Amino acid sequence: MGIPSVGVGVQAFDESAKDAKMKEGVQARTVSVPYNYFGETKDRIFAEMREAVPGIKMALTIPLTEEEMKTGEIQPPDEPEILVGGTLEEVQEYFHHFRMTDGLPIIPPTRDRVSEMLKGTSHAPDEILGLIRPEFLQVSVEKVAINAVMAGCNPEYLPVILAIVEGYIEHDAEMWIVSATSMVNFHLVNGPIRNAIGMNRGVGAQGPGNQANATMGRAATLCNINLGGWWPGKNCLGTQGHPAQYTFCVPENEELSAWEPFHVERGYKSDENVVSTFTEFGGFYGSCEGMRQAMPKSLLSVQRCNQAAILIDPSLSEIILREGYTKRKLKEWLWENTTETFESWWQDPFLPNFLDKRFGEPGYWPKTYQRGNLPPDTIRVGTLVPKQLAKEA
Amino acid sequence: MTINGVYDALNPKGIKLPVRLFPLSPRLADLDHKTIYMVDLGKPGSDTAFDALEKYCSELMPEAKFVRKKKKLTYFADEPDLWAEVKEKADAFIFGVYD
Repeated sequence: MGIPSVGVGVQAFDESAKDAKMKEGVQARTVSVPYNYFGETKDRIFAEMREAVPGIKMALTIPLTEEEMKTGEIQPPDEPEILVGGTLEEVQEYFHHFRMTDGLPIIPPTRDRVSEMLKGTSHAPDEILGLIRPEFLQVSVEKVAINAVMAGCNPEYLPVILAIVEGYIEHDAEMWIVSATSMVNFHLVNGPIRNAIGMNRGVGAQGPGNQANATMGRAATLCNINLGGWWPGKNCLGTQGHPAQYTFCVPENEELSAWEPFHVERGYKSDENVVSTFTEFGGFYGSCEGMRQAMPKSLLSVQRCNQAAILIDPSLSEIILREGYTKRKLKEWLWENTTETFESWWQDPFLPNFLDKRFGEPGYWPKTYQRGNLPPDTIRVGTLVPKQLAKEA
Repeated sequence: MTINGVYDALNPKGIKLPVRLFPLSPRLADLDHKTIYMVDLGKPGSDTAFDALEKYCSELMPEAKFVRKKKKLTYFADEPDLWAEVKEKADAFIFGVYD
């Protein structure tokens, strides 16, 4: 814009900001503070900003360096076609070290294997598909095939993976996996290709066991890592991540569904092969009030849990503790506040199989479900919690 | 190809393209009597952060005039009108918070 500026942000995003500057060719000046603003106390935010303001003034007034005044183009370094040669262990070590895997072992993408993989498509290997976020790296058909080999895919899966990647390119504004929230890309496959390549559309379709389901989702993740430059802690700052980020590719069970398939609903013919990508997240907001609003509702949805595992980011635990919630006090608060009416609770079709059959008789339920001053028709969910708290006392 | 248990692995990385360099705008010699826009991108918690920024910037740079602006749209949506105003009326601007 022709006027000096300075960005203010959080230190956790420094690496991401540095990458963005290099990618855009702009040596923007930034000032960062240690902690996230959301959920922080006013006193701490004010203290941090007081420390940051001198840096802001300097960023607007200190003359530009030679580096900051440069024009022209930065040419990327030549990348070798053969990245590394070695034993299986050496290749694994190299790929892991240089952040080209999801942490799991990969199939070394040799020329023979990639050539075999490319038989799964009629597209030319050097066909350019476009640029992928977040680093806007250029993607070719061959590069997708290389990542598909690494994931353990068969050649007949390649059309699905190419379609997923083309979706990433076409809808780059909607791919949120670089968010500070732990987002997941879910890929839904429709059409005859599901059965042709042996996807599991039945029992356990979202779980392990089927090569097509598992490896295609994995290939999509590896493409995000290697073709988009996505990396946890660098430009993907979801605090906890999500296991579904490893792989999440499932066929719709069109044959057993009573409804029209998703792709037909969206205007495609039933015999067309379509893959749809959904991006979603879950979790709580990073504040004590957000926790109080959201956590009981989530616990209620967890099959009337007697025991639940709640994973809390350390920064949120600090915020919650500042409001007086030790771990024990949080458990007690959740026990007290995760309530619903008996009628609603009893309507769950799952419960009667496991409970005393006298439940449901007017006014009958164990004392542990109701303590304190709840309305007579309201119970607390989680019968084992009082026993656990008593043991921990 | 694999020879005697040795694998030559192809490069899985996308291709970096040349990057055009944009020089930064020249800095101001000082901020006295300058109009400095403070553009709030609207992330959660930014109101308090900008309250603090406004307070301490005014204390450290009392001769400057600070104008606070908050994006009307979400942080990821462009607002050409806002940036046009900044370009027209500001001598410098602060933007944030990125998180």
